[in-house]
Amino acid sequence: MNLDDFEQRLRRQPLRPVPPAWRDAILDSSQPSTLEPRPSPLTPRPWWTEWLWPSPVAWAGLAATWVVILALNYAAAPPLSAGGPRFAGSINGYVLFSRLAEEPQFDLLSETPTAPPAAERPRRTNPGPRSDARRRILSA
Amino acid sequence: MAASELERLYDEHASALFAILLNFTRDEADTRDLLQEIFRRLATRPDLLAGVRDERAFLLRLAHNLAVDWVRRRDTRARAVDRLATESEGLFAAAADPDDAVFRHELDAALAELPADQRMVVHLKLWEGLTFEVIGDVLDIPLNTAASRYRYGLDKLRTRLRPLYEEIR
Repeated sequence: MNLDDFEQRLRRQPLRPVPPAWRDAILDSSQPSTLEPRPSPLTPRPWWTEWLWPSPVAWAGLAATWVVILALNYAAAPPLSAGGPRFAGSINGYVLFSRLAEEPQFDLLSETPTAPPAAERPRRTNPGPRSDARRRILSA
Repeated sequence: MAASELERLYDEHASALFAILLNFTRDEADTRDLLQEIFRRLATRPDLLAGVRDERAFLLRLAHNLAVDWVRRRDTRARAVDRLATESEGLFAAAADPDDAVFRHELDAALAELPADQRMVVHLKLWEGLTFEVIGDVLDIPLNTAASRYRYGLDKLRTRLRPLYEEIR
């Protein structure tokens, strides 16, 4: 392919040379005797860094949201009283209730309510039988 | 690798590697890190060049692969692609003639606006003088792809620089 004038003009533009000071610095630090096991700038970062890195602000925001949610949840829980049940608001409340239900006094379904023993009626003295009343009337 | 051999490689190829790395990354600090990495690998792995027929093409390919990996990581961190047009370190030598200085400055800016794949082909074709076949080997692309990228890239440069080129011609 023949280069036209425009291409020739471009080709004649000299590129900037590599800075002279770089030569010794690069060659000295590239010698095997001076090489240290430093991390290369091209060394892959840990997987979790690569995973988080594209949007660190979004991940930080998500983490902050969770902290706020947990804080609000903690603040909204009813305060624990000294002698009150320690399981208030706990997700294990159902389990604890089930255990209590196994106790005899909580066996509500199987227990048949029984009437309290009837109190002994006081012996009635007055008035007497109707025959007595009739005798009293006739004798009067 | 012997120190003298490493010095020879540096003296023969460092300028070309510097130029293509700078044109790719558009960042002098990144370019230095990558150049350092190339020579660190050469020093620690003397067998890297064993059996290589074209040292320059091999090193250009190594530089390109490292730069692609480097920019991919940098883009992930900082979306640095958007900064290409504003972070150019100046690819060309300073010019005494004002017209040349303006043209080089505009050419540098126009190159920065090209997609990296077109920019690499244009660079290798114009300033390394490689054939499309060798460019294809260096960039690991088919010959026809290299040619079409060069054509697209050159057309963009021509369109961008035509007014200035006609003026100072």
